[in-house]
Amino acid sequence: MTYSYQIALIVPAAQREAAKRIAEAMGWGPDNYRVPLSDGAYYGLSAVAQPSFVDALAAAGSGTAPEGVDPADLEAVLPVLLSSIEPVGTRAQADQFDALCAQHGLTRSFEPGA
Amino acid sequence: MLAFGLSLAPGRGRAARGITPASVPGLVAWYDAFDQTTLFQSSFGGDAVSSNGAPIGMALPGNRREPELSGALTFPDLVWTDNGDGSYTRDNDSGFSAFYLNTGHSASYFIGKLIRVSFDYTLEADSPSRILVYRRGQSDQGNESFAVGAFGTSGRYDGYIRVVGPSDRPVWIDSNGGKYTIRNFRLREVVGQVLMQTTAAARPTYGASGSHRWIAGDGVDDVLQLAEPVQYQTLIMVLSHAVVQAAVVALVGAVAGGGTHYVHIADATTLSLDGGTMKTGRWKQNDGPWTSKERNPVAPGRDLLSRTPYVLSAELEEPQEFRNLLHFENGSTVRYGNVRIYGAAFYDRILTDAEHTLVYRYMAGKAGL
Repeated sequence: MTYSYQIALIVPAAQREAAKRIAEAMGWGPDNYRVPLSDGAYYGLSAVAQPSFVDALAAAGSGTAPEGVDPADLEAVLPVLLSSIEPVGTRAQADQFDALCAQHGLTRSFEPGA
Repeated sequence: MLAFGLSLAPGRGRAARGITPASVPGLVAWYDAFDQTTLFQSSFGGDAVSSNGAPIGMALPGNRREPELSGALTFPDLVWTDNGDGSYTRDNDSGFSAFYLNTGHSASYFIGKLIRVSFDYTLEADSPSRILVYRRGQSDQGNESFAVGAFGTSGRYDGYIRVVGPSDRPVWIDSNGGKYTIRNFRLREVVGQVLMQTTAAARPTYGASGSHRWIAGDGVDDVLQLAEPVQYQTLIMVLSHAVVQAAVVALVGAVAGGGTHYVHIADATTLSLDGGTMKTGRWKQNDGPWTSKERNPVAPGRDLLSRTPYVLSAELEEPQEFRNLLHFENGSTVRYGNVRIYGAAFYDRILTDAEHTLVYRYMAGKAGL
């Protein structure tokens, strides 16, 4: 299995549970989106991913729900999902995540390097 | 004191042959990224880590034990033939007919345990195209299937299962028909401090370059955890930076229950060890002098922000709990390590200087020092 992408995903707190259900249905296990942002207004994740996951995400954006995923959850999450998908090694994953946060005016609820 | 005496202490700059962190008494846990057989992509112990950048869902300690499970193996399903020589043959082309192995323990005995399963197999007439080893009972979630070859093919399965619920089977082997024989079947219970991560996004990744091997945290949400915290007092670890940037938190260990313990790279020449609410006795980098200062400039010319690995040794005044690797929490403080960890050994006591030297030399060898 080749993990050729590094991804950062962020959702508003209101859609966090639906986003976690989607991730779990896609084989990612429980409790993804565990990083609180802007005092818990948003939650994010950083991970490496296989091309099949990126393809499934793209297909979901086109209206095709991945197998096992509740379309209602997709409908709730996709419009508000913030994402960054890059080939592995483009930059440090923490930099990618922080850049996505900055792009949307979000801050981590702790200082990662202080 | 060392059980084997001090005469085996290695000379300066080289490790003694056959000496590992497990040679020194008091070892709580030892993780070694150079031993690829201890790293798996899934938290159930499936999918061995085989490529650069693969996620790590489970890391076995190098000092684990794997005692045989007691109790006679029985094969309750009549589709299996007992050949009388320790081998069993399944010849059934009439469709699905799974079985499980009764090891003499109740199902509840296995809950939460990590079990190593291994057997040899030989495909015979009407060979199946696959054999399934289920990890979670009758469900196909968490199973592992492997394709098998043509008639006459022999092979070996050697993997791990983690029993989750009371209805899960310790082992459940199935195929899509055909005839095959298994022998040398073994069930072993893994005893030791197994690190795992069930959340895919929170799994660190495996790295390899040249002679180096490491476990890398992304600095965002990666953490490996023990099921229960364990006490330690001495830590000897090989680490380097995952990225080259200032003010990276280089986490080396974490504790539950209030204490924190991490390394902070303030800039290219300043390393600090933060004991949080507990007191760090002394610590040092590589074979430099011990220091009790929390903040310590390193030798001029040594760039801490490079990816050159180094050995960190730390002794705590009192034993503390260790549960997380690459992460800690303490009240409102949450930190994730953005580092590469090549190896780490935790002891439940303060080592003598001679013992420390033995472990240091081993770790220094891993770091290429």
